[in-house]
Amino acid sequence: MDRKETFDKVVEIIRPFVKNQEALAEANEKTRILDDLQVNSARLVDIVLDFEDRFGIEIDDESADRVQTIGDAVAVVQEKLTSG
Amino acid sequence: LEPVLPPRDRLQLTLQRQASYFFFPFLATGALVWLKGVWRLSLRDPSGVRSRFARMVDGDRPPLLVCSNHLTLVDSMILAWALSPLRGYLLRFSSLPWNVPEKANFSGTLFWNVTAFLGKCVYVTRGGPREEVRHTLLKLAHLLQAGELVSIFPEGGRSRTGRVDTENFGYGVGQLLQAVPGAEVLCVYLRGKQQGGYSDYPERGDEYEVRLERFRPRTEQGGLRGARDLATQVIDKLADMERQYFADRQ
Repeated sequence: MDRKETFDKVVEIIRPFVKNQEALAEANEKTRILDDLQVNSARLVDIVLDFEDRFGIEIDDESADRVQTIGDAVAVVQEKLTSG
Repeated sequence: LEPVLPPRDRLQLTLQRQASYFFFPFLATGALVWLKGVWRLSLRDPSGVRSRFARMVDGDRPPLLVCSNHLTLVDSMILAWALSPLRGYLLRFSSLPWNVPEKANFSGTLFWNVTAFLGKCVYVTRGGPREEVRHTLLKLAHLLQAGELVSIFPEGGRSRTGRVDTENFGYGVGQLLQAVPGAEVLCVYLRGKQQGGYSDYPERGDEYEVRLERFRPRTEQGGLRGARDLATQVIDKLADMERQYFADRQ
């Protein structure tokens, strides 16, 4: 799966948790999930668990803590896909 | 999460508990004057609630985490008032629950810092740096293991709908339960008759009803999934109690 595909899939997974849908429409890898997309911080856990389910990977706590932007999420997912 | 707290923190909590015990009669009297005298609040069946609570915390028991719904800024005070008379807390000070207020809301002034210290409070920064949150969890786990009651609002804040929020709750309560194996949860549903949605303060002259249910959440899962599972069970229990409350009122 290339980076663009991963990016699109990550955005689809995040979409149900996003309060600012306008920001999501213009999202790029630098978009901050909590601040720009106004995702509730408690829902970040659900997003990480959805990444695990949808990509068939396991994300440890350290990696989960790195997820601040969409680009971070893409990087973590790709890293786990590659190492798995 | 290993529930082992550094000795310095353990000493700090012990000293805080001692100071809190010494000043408790003064703080409690002030709180009672405010709740009953100024705000004219009352409790429905206080002796029944307090005897049930006393039975739940007396004698040998597993670590007990108090989880309540959250509608006003003074729910912690009302909860403590409802669960036991002042002399009950003086005889068994571990039954006065520790509270976990958001640091940003209470740590701004010396008055609130002192009040929180003497009021058995441990600050938390929700969504804060991982190490800071973990440190708070360690403190709370230590208190529970030591037989103290800890009270938290599993919704993470006052419900904006006025009902138990089954959608937007955090999983901190689940992480805490994971850190204290065998812990049970005392769910407390607390609501004034005139309370509509959420508010800063209760309605003046309101009568509060308090319902208690104790249970042990269980999960086969670990990590974040386990924390989510445990937290969901607690929220679902509170939501059930709320449904029953409104069904009984009709």
